[in-house]
Amino acid sequence: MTREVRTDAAADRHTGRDDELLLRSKQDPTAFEPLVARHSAALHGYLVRRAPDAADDLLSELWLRAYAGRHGFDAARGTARAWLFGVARHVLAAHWRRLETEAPPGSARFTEGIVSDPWHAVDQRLDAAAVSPVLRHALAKLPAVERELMLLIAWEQLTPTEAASVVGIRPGTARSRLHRARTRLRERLGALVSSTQTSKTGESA
Amino acid sequence: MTARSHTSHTSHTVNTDHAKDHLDFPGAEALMAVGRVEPPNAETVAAAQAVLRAAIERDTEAAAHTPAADTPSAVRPRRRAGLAGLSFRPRVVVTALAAAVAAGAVAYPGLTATDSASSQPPRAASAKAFLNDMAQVAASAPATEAPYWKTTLNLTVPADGEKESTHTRYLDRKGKSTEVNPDGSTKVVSTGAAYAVGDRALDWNQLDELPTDPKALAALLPFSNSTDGKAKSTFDNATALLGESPAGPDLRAALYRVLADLPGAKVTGPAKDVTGRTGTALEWEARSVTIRLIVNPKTGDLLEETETAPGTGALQARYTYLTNAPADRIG
Repeated sequence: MTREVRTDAAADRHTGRDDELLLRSKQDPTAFEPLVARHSAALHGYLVRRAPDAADDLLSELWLRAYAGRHGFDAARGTARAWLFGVARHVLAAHWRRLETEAPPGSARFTEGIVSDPWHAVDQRLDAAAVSPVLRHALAKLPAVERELMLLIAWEQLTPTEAASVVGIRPGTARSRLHRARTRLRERLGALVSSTQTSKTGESA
Repeated sequence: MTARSHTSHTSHTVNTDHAKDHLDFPGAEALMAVGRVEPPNAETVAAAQAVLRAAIERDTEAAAHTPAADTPSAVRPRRRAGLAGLSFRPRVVVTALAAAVAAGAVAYPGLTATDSASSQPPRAASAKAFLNDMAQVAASAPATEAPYWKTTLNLTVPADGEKESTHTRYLDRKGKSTEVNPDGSTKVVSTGAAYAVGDRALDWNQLDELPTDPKALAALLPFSNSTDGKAKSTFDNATALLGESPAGPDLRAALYRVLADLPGAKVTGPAKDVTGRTGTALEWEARSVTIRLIVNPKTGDLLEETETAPGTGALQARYTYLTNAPADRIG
């Protein structure tokens, strides 16, 4: 990975600082500002993977929204990082809603609703990277919540608990969902692996 | 190699709140690699910082009872026009299934009086009888010589605020798969095997070589490493082939016979899919999910597959097979 790999210790230290900054910013707005430098890369990555053309603008919108909504942060319900990704998710959803309402009724976009679906952008990304169609199909077949959780941990490197907080479900539920997703992916992709292996070696493993 | 042998390198851990525990499946590394992105431009971050700083200053100055500085409207983020001018036009293709109707496909008892959803519920019919009838209907459809097979899947998901998505794909005889983008443009997305059949991935020609004896076919369908159980895995792979593959009439018939031999399915009566197409619904209870199929009894066409939570009935996933038919050209 080209991106910084977080060690647990570093993550803990940052988490504590971020939570504190966010809580403090409720009284002292200037405490909020350091969060931008610290989290913009990760949050921009989240946006650019899902709305590549709008990510730059959405990043500004995200920070304004997060700042305006900082009183809603509750450290008991999750980390500052997870909370920020939750804001990013709302910003993204609002972006897609806007695209939809901007489309005139009767237009292809209005009736199809395609561009409002996060999976479409994600799938295009997989497509552009020449990801195996079997993997894409397997991901497409996952219920959206499972897919979203899976991508939050694979791409945003969130913990399952953080991913649960972003999506707004309980951590236990998230883990069972993730377990289910992994099982489905293994089953569907196991076929691909076996097949590839078989065709390479001329015999099954 | 199977997916199971993949796990042998993973150390066991009590704490499951680690991403790697959930990324233990074939293809996970490829998926993660796709997530790599360039960091944002310094200007982008600076712009966000400037916007935020303006908002903070406005608040702090307001708190200090000083006159408001420059209004924040000047620093509202610009928004690009977005993806304008989409011209996605789903095309109707002549389907083999329509031809089957014209050819006088086998009538399903209980739905012969009318073909509307208001016809009498076929409670008397068992799922087994219904599915075997569907096998006959499917077998009576003509085989196609068309160069392409078109599938359009409408995937609907239960998450809050999430819309359904539509995926249109054309497969050719050589295994090339072309996807139609929402702007109407097309892109070749893959070559080669596209269909999971048990532990193998097959292309169109290989589908034609599958056995059409139900028992022989049933033995090939489930994943050998299925954790959902053999029956569920058989069911999943059979419906995937019925809903989204160029399986020929004989294979489709055999797939319905495989489903007919699986215990536990029941016919629940006439139903409409989300697009309003009418059919006969079947329900099948698996360990952790209730699956409902809607089949057009006149064509043997699998219209929709819905997964719900057994207790609550909450929708988990819905696959609406809008098109599964031969096509003469892409577009």
